[in-house]
Amino acid sequence: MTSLTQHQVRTFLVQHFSDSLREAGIDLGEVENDFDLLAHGVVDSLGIIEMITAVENYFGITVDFELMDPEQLALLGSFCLFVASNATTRV
Amino acid sequence: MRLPAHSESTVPANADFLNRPREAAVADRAATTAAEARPVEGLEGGIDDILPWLHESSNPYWDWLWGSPGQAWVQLTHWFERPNSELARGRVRSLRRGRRVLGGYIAASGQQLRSCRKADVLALMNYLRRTSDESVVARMHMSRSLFASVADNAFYLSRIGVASAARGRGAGRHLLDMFIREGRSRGYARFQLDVSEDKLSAFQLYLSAGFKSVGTSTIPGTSIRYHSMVRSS
Repeated sequence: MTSLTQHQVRTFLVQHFSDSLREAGIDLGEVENDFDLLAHGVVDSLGIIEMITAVENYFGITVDFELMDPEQLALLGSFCLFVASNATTRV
Repeated sequence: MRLPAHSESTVPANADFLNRPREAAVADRAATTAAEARPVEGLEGGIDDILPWLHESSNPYWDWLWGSPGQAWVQLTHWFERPNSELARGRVRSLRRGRRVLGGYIAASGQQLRSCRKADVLALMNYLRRTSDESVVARMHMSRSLFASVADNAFYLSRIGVASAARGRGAGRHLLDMFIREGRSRGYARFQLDVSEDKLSAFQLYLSAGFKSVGTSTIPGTSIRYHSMVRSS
């Protein structure tokens, strides 16, 4: 486990997707935790894999997704909480 | 919403569609004849009856994506057995004559499709972790814009296929009509599909059923080219 928080992951992702969020008319300061990145076209299937890779590389972590509920995968708040709760530092 | 595993119907015997190479048809006819000797029940029968046409209807993209027909078949089997996959066994609507499966289709609304694809991409992510097979991700990059997105108000034909021994007797048209009827009964008036350019007979079938090609996309450096087709009402 790490000391990574849901808020840190969320801050990174909002910044990472800032252009796409603005294009979708979303105020970066008002992104809800139940915002669905896939439904709003911020990411596609490949984009989810890229998102995971980006988060892991940025924070230097590895996340085990074996136990993740797929329905939570593209929800901003749920994804960030899962990452923060299941991250391990890379060796 | 989970679709019934199978629905039974009869097939008109007066239409022609979806030709394929003679040698493949002969081999499949022999296999089907053997299958007719036993009841089609349970896991084994389902896989034997469904995966051949499901594999063919997934191509040429599927074999290319996974790098080889063998690996593509293995992955198709895994996806077929995962209940929340786009290609899950429980999503297949079949057309049978008696115990004999003539073909089938998989359909989903845009919203269902999104839900399935979350599950599939998570499974893919875990596969990549186990195998470190970066070539699949590279091919996903190459084919990123190959298929059009599906809106929530559209009913999408993900796969459709006919057992080779059952071809030439209108089963494909019957399945397509089943798909349209199912969509209408669920309140959809917009229907969408993707078809490979090399499947000319299928393309013509869709045109004859009122679908129009609204765009094409090619995987760079390959001959794989798909039409996005739409029918309204």
